Amino acid sequence: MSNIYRTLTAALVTALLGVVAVGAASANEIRIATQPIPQYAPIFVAKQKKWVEEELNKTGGKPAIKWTSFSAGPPINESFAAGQQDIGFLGDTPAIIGKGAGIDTRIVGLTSTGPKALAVVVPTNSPIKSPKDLKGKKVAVVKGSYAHHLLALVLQKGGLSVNDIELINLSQADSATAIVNGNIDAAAVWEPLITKLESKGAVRVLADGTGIKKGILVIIATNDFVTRNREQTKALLKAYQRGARFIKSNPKEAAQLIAGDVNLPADLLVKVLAKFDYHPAIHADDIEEIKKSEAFMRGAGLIKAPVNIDAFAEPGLARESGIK
Amino acid sequence: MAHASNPYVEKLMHLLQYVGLSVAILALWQGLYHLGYIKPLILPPPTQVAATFWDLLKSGAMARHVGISVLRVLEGFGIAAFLGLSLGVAIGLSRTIDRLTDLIIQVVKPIPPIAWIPLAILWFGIGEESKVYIIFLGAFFPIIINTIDGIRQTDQKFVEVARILAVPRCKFVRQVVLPGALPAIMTGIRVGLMVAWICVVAAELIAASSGIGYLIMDARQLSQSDVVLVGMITIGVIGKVMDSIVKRLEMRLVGWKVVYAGE
Repeated sequence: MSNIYRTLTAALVTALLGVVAVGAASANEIRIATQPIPQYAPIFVAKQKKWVEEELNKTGGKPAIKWTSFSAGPPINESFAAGQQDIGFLGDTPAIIGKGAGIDTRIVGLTSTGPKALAVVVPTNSPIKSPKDLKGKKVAVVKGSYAHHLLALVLQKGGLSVNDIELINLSQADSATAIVNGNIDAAAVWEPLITKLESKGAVRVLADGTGIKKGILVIIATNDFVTRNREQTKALLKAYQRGARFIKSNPKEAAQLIAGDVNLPADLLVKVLAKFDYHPAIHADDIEEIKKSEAFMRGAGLIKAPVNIDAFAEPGLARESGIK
Repeated sequence: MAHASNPYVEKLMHLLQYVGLSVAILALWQGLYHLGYIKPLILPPPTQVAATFWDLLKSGAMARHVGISVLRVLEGFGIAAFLGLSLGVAIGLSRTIDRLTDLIIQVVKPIPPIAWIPLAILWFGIGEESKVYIIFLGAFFPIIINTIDGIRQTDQKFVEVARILAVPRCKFVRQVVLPGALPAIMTGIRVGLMVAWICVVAAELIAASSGIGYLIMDARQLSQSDVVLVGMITIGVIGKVMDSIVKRLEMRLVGWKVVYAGE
């Protein structure tokens, strides 16, 4: 008898808590910052398929979603600092830079990993054959990006450091022009630029992240948003996961669906999508990988204060959403 | 004896008036930070900016960035001054050259130097040339326009006297036109130098690895708003110093011109 009573009480409490949680999860507007690149493909699939709205509606309210597209991670950080975003999609390194600068965010999930999606490229006819040939060369990279870390790792493989090259801080678009014009000897870049330049026959890959960097990109949310809208945050992760599954089972259809969102012809996009492993869940080895990024950035003076990655990343949200 | 006309008191009063507003703004800024109204992420307090400035100064980074930026500005400005003055004089003296060039000057002038960056990279690459080109573009138009205007404003009386006395053209240009145009030319030089200095940030958007504009862009990428402010204030202070130097030069060259300085 008392057992049944206890079970009933527990059920009632759970139900009440559930109602409270749903009641709390009712942001009227969710502001999402993205970049138009295939690293974040599942969110564009979910957007096109209206799965974001679908998953959010299951949590109760019907929030309006405000999408903003940015050219890179740093301006997303600025927008977060100005209090204009709730959810953001960016590389692990800019996320760490933002956190280190005092932006109150946490990592709620990963967008993708893809060691082959970031690479040091050289012109097709370049005499540079191995990382050690980079000594004294002009190499372009977006400073503080995840390719910056890759460049340091590739140089390390050749027994060099960043001090042995002439590092030029250049945007992806300018790197493309500069390498085609022969103004630089190499560039550390990420997709879709690698495939774009390769398809034109302009560059070849000197070294990619295989074996040295997984190439993690993350989904961040402000702590305020997660605290107040935990269910909605989880709903977004679920929508992302649905997008990821769709890409895995229908890559061609997915490429056609989001070609416009990432500004890449569908035939090229199919090839690029295959380089990524899209999974929002944060595993222990991912945390270790992000810690390596953090250590690199501290060493390179890109962040002044250490960022505690264990506190920054919250794997629990994906787990609670049933995403493994 | 603290009479209002005491020169020392008066000087002190003027100095207070000169720096008063700036000091008040700094104090307000620092105060709002201590009261918690402004987050350091959005606007770091003056004390933090000063500390960052000191760090950059101590490490020698500041001297390196300022040095390279000043060099770029002097190069771009030098080319602009040479071409702007010679072309300006030619256009000012010849109606035909004026007609030939006016349309193109008027159309190219409103294009902001920053809009030239993509082409500058294609034409000159990502080295020093493209940066100097952007700075040159900024300085060129104020100099050439002011030179032309100055020459156009030559007093008609002098032109007629010269014609009646059959003064040789060369002498007429040297002794009548140029001295008359000098105040306007000096204004052009001053504005040109100022715009050149303003363009340094735009120029150093192009693949720079040093320079005060690079310092700002770099800090932006790394979310270091204190370094951004240090860069901004440094640009402001150096701009002010440059302007003061040119103003001195102007006073010496066209000291005869009476200037209304306000009441």
